[in-house]
Amino acid sequence: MSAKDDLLALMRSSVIDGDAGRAEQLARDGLAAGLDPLEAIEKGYAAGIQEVGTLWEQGEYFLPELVAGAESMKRAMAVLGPALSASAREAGRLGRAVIGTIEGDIHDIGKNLVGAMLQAHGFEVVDLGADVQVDRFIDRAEAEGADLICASALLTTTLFNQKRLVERLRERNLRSRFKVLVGGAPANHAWAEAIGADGYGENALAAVRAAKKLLGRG
Amino acid sequence: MSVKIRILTPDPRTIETESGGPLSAALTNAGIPLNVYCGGRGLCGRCLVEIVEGRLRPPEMEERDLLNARQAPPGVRLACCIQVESDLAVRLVPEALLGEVQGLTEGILPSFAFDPPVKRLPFRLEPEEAAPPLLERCVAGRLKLPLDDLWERHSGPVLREAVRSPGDYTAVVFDNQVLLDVADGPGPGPAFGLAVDLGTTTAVVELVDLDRGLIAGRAVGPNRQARFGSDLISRIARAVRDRDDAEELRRAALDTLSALQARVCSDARVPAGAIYDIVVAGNTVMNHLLLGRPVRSLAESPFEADFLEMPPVEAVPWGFDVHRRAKLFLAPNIGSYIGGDITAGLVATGMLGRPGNALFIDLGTNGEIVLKRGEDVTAASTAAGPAFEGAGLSSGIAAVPGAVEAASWAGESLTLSVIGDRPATGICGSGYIDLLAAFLSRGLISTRGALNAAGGLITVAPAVAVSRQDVRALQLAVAAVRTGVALLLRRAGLAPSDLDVVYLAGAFGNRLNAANARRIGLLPAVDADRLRCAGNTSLAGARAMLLSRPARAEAARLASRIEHVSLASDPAFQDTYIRSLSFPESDAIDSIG
Repeated sequence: MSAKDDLLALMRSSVIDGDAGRAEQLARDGLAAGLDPLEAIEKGYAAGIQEVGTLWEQGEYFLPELVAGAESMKRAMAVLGPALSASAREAGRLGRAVIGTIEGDIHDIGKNLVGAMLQAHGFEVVDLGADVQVDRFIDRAEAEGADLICASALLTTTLFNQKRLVERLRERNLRSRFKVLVGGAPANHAWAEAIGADGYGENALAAVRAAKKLLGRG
Repeated sequence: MSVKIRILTPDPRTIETESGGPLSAALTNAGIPLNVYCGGRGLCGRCLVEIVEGRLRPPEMEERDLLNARQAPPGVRLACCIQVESDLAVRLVPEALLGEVQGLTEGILPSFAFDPPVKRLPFRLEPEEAAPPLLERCVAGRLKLPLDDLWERHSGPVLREAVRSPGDYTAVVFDNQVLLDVADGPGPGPAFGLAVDLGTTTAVVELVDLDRGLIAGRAVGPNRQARFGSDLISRIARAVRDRDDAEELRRAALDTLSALQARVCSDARVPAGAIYDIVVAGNTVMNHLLLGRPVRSLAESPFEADFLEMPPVEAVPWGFDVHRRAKLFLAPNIGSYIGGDITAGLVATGMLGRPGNALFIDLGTNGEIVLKRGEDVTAASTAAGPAFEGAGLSSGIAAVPGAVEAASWAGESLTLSVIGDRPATGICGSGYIDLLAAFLSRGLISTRGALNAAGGLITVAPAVAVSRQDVRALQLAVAAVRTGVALLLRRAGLAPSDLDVVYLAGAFGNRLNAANARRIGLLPAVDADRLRCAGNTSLAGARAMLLSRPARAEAARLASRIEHVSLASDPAFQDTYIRSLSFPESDAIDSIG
């Protein structure tokens, strides 16, 4: 195995182990050694985050490992991103998402996880925080030139506001401009379909898959 | 001037007191459990004492009437009617001493005075007193009730309806204020009250003898609101969406309590009409739904309650089948998600009345946490979920017969303790706590919660197992509580070792192992001798409020002392929560705080 393969394997395992400090250092080492940043991302870190996802789905990993993996990925990307060529950056760009917890609801751990995983998988993410008014979602999505609006609700009482979000997009004649992805404990596929959302993510990884599919990147 | 009181029987001793006060106060101050049911107001005739030596004034007419009604032998007096002016020698009368007031001693209750809001008091009417114009003034005077507009509206009509002739009567008085009932002679029997724990998942109704402070029976059953959803939020959603559903939810709560009341009253052979008082300890949402109050604001930011506290009301108009003038009191709520059940728990532990730092955790469908640091008290609620009530787990059941309630290693095999001593059919909360601790100690699960077992399943008995998903669900429940504890401690600038006492309350049954609860992170890392398994403090507190006016006053006071903290808006919440998801490395270290 070559030195390059060794380095890529170390990058992969830094994400799997959730060691953010090591992930960042390896990214610097890679650039210093002349490693192509796109290759470091694709064969090193992104492969690692895929493996984290697999371990999560097998039940081996839980939320802390998922968060640590996403954080490691983010730290490495902060080093590698600026080193990417313009064309590589454009090729690697999956899309831009505005994400937030819906009006009336302040629970944001699930939303934060989805945001981190979207980022780890190559999306640009604009996090609007919690208790986001329906119109603010839309205003910011317009301003950011987003492709995707992701709205989370943890309470059955605030879930209804996801429906209002879709209705409001229609009223403002912007429905076709954005894809809408909903999630949260009380939501499900049937709900997403009934309110006219484009997709639903049962958990952070499912949300990433749905987002990729919606933007034709799956 | 100091005087000596020699007590001759049952335990000879001499006490000293200042002259001028009532004998009853001298005796109770010296720790003698004299039954001063009426508060030493010369109304009940229970604090009998035999005077052997000493100069006393002869009894006044009221004392003579009470002594006659009790058929007291010569030499026996009422301690509260005697002013101590010189040395005395007395014999205590066994029937005038409080035995164990079970209702105030069961569980971990501190010593509240036996002083029930509902009291039965005897009175006598001479011929000229049994009719106007003397009737009302005489009775109000005997029972020391104020002749105010409460009398005009309530007490007067009750009295006029009941009294037809001179003779002996028994009055049922509420809070030294108002007449609830008047019966001929000694009356039909004791007055009873209901102590109610109205939980989201489970309800308990306890029948309490208010004359003697004894528990007459207890019934437990599922909350019938469950068909509208197992958690508070789905029930609120139903009530908000549909006015009929809100009414259905109110009826379901009432039906739950009525069925339990019927069962416990039938077992104890107590008629509904003998129940004069109800104290309900429920969370804020339960209290709102029981009274049909609006709940929408409880489920949306900024999460505000329609009401927090209210004075005792008439019980019958709210749908209860009890005496027609019985009272209903809800333990005051502290905030939108810290309810009367927690107020009751704090009354039951008495922890706010003692010096030092204390932590109270009530683990129900939600997990509520109260921290006392010196005089400052903060409280928070966490979405622990019903995992420790057995809900949502592959072998989870409530603490009922057939449930594994305790477990430990004996060599290479697990020793299980099953409720009802029968084959295990499931696992309850205390069983899961023991099993998690046992699996952690042998590396069968890692501190991160990964299960090292074939098939992702650890079988503990035929068809009873702990699965990978069960461990994950329990991790989430533990983490919610652990995060709340860590954040409240941090805000107060305290470490776990600064806590003088930690109470864990909840429906775990009797076998909760506090050291194991600490091992899995559910309790903070403090020495085992500071951990208290407090049982169902919601019920114990409700009972204390039935039996002690000071306990009820304490409930009203403490609810206003507590600052409600929203955990989710704490910037450290997410990071603390994620780190809390891993079990502690050992039970001596708390890596989270």
